[in-house]
Amino acid sequence: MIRNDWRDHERLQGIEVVADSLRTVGYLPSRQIATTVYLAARLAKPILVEGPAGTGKTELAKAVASFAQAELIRLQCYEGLDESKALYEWNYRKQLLRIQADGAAVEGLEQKGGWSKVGQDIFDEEFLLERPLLHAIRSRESSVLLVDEVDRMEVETEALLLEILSDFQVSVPELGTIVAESLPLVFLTSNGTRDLSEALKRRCLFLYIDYPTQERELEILSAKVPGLNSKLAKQIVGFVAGLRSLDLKKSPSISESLDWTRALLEMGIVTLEDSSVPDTLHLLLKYRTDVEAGIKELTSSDRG
Amino acid sequence: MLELLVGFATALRASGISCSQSELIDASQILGEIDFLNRDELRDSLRSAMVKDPLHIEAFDRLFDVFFSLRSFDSAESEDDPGNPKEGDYQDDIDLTDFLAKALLQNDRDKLSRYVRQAVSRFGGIEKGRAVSGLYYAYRTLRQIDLDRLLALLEGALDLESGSDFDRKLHKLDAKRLIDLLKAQVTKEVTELLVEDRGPVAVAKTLAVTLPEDIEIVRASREELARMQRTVEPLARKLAARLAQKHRSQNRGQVDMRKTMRASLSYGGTPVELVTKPPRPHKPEIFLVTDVSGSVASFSRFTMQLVFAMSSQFSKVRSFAFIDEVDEVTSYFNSASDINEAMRLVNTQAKVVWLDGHSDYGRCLESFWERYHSDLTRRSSVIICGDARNNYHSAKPEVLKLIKGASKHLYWLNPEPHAYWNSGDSVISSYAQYCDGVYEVRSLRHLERFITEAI
Ligand SMILES: Nc1ncnc2c1ncn2[C@@H]1O[C@H](COP(=O)(O)OP(=O)(O)OP(=O)(O)O)[C@@H](O)[C@H]1O
Ligand SMILES: [Mg+2]
Repeated sequence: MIRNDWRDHERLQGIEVVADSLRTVGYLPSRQIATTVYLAARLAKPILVEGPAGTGKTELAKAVASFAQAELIRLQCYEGLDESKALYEWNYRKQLLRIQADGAAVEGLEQKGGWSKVGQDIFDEEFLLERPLLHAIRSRESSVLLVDEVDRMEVETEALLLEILSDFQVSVPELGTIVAESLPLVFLTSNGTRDLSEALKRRCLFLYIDYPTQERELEILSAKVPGLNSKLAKQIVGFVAGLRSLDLKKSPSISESLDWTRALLEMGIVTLEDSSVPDTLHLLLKYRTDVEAGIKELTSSDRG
Repeated sequence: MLELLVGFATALRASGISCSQSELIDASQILGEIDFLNRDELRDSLRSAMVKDPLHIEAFDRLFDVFFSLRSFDSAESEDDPGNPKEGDYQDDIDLTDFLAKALLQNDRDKLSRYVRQAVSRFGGIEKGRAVSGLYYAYRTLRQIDLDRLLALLEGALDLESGSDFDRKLHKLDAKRLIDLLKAQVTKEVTELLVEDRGPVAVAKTLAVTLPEDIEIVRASREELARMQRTVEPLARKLAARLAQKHRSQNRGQVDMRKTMRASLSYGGTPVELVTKPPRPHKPEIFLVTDVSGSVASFSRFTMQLVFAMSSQFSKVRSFAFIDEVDEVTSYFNSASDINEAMRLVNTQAKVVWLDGHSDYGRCLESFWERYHSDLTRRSSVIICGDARNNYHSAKPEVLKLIKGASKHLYWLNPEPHAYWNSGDSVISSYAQYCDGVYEVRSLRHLERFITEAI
């Protein structure tokens, strides 16, 4: 039986406690976010976090690791990621060197006990390159495993991940089966660029992080940007919320509204006016056509 | 409680949300970890176990309100009958709007739900025992609340705080948001009264929550179109990724000998690593030819939007619109900031009307062939979208034979139910003989299936 140290972690006893713990490390959660993290710890289930870019998916895993003082083990996914980069790999170079070194020392392998002996030698721990998934399983203390942008990995690799999330054990043919001692708390993030398999989704709790409500964004800005006056903050979140209701190529996310806010303060702007917004809009919106749409929105007297 | 949960899961499944047995078990385990008498806590918790697709959250929430209705929940808390006005409550209908405005502005949930309750019981005219969805009652209630005046009140009050031009624009948006809040509250209240009357299972049935991908496009209401609109972009991204995956797997496995040999040098000549060639995608060229006349306009719009949003997966996308004249509209999609703007350009700038603005397929296909046939190649896939209702004009199916001969694939997407094909002025079968496939595309799900299967 693998231990779930997360279940009884003192910073995770109750939804409100989770929310407070997140706040202490500068992450302002919604009620839904705190609830799902709490349940994941109680039920020992991975969380699949989906949502638009820049809404705090990756940051959430980091924040949990930070307040829980657990190691954050991160597997960044990309197209072409395979077992040797996700799980483990034998260090071929070092193995070859060992074979050569052995050979040189006692000219001829026969005298040293033959191939089987060398075979044992070179498939020793010493030659094993541990990748994030194996690292998470072998970790003695409870850790946070962040599998970031899981939608980028290929379907075949997803199957491997599923296996590991089911059993938390890995069998390395040359070494035997390695079983986790303490369950990691697992976060999988996805931008929803492709369907993940039903099997994977079934195994996880699901957390959709949408753009924040105005109240929460106000909290985030105030917490993260010192010296921001509340009038300007309100204007910013109101305007950004308006932009998000437009049909833009890329809506501004939390990270962009943070950037914009900081830039406005740099420029000494204390209140937003029709005239001051257009010049800085490119900090908030990435595409030229989006900036134009934003300006149009600003100059139109009323919306239908 | 467990029984309620099972009923809830059944209703979720009936509306197309696949809630598996193991997810139901998770949900029941969750009940032991939370205070399930706290409704918000229960909703958030069940959501994370029972919904795994962001597009299904809305349907989940609506059904949750039905099954875990407030009244069956905290009847212990609200002792006095909320239907009766309290001291300080409004007296007549004029007042109601002011009271609602105040509650909304103060963000006072309790007051808001109390006033809305009173409004529903006075104006909704709910008839007990009738098997209706309740949308009608909500509509009746809202009609009695002077929404225009309410909007003006809200804006006015917000403007009082600060009134630069910029702020006034923000206040307009705020006021609209508050009105939406009110509408949601009315719907919720009506739902609760219905549940009280007939029980959750019966109400869930009449609600018939349709997932956005299953809504019949040509019959969709405005509100439904808006819901679908929100799903098009994510759908396009998914489909693009799926196509990319398909292209990749078709190209995999070619070993690059030169690179493999070079890599082997660091292992003394043993080819330890096989280096494969980078995939060479063979992406199709799309010619999208769409009827944009009124009867199929929303269908055309979704199809064009979807195809353009996926354009990275095609070597080229060209789009043509027609009613009784055909015109190329590719440039509008490339220059417009969003789909609304692009469609506005298509409807105002493109020359799609020649005579009377009634679809003439024969004439348009012929003129498409005459003007663009030299651009068609063996890599072109031509996709024609429309109901083939030709207003009894000449169909000229032989033109399709030419188009088919000059391109790789020719597909036809028809938004009408199969049963109506060839009835009245529909001439779909005379065109079908020359197509590689004629697809019934009534919903976004059908559109998705076509793209995955055919392209
Ligand atoms: N709830 C929050 N509280 C505080 N800061 C936040 C919060 N959410 C997001 N941020 C800020 O937004 C930034 C972007 O967040 P993050 O990188 O986690 O986004 P993401 O959802 O992982 O995006 P992507 O999909 O692009 O990977 C963070 O650096 C953080 O500063
Ligand atoms: Mg991220």
